[in-house]
Amino acid sequence: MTEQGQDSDLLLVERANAGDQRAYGLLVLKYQRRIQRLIGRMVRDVDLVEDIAQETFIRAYRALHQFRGDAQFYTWLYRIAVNTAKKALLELKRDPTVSESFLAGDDDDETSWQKNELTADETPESILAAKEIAAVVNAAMEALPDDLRQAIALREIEGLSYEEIAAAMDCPIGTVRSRIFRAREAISERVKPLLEKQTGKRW
Amino acid sequence: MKFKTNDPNDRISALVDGQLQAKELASVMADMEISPEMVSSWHVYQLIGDVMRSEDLAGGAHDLDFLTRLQAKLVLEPLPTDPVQLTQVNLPIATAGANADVFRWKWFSGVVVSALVAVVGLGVWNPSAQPQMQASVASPAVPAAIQVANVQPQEPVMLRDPQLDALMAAHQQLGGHSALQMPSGFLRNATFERSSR
Repeated sequence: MTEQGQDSDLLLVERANAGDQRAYGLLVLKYQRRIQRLIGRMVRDVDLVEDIAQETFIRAYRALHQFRGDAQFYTWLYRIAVNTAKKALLELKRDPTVSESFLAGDDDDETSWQKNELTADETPESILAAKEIAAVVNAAMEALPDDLRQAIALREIEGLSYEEIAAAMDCPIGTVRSRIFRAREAISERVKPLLEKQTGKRW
Repeated sequence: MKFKTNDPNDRISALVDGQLQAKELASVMADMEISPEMVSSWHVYQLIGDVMRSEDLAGGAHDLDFLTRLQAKLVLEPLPTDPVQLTQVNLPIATAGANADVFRWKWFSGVVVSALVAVVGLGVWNPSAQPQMQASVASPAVPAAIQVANVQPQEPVMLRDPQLDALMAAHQQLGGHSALQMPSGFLRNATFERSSR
């Protein structure tokens, strides 16, 4: 995540600390997938994953005033999630079956997990749904005009700032913003119907 | 950077990328209140970015349900505020002694003190003392006037933790050093002392 993305997090944290719970909701929507994946790698009880994720975000909300922006918000949230999961496992006296990467050391590198292994929050249905979403996103990316695809790829995959993308694509920053927005809208048009189908709700 | 568009989701996209200032964010949050579709757009934009970086983050169909359940719990939580809340505490005035209202005790203590001063003074004073002693006694380096602080009697005002004050007030009999044992050097002492006024 770039510094700009972090700035956005800090703005949302400040608003949440000022009493705007909707701002905190946006942070939840941004990070809940990563948090649930993280917890799913520690806890092998599928029923516990969401409970611990919910508890993580409640604890984070209670401690939100302590977040000063010195570190990335996700790094801070990650610690709370790990501690919440460990505490929940101890309290329930269940076999934690903690990932070796967690037991080996205090390593924050979540990419060290064996990717072929299923996590607890995955069911055959959820795996299929996720694969469908991934396929739609990839297909929508392929269908984008080159300038839009390049702009959003530089932003989302490479993590470049608007200024860096403008320099790379030799265009004004306003054009970068427009291209990224149009790329997101084009992909959203394909993703939203799929989400509606999977949830039975209108998006 | 100036960029104008009529589509409200453009600002959502800019917010995803950290391109909005605090003032613009306030406007976006107000618009989200009116248009929940903007929240959905925020979620889908974040989901798209996650999927582009890692396909195992593609399971986002029930994210809004997760948030709905969480918000039902957050409503019960107090607002996050700074942990250090300095509050103004008006400390209680010390209670008077049981015999404070009985004047004869004050009169009796005054008489006793005066008598003691008279006895000690007579014992010390000797009219046949040596001159140099008289000289040294006669010219003491006493300042002409002693500056006395003009302390206005008022209730003391302290800025400190009210819970700590309550605890210290409840345990004031334990405050200070004990005469029966050495103070513990490694412990930080905290004492509560009420005002005598």
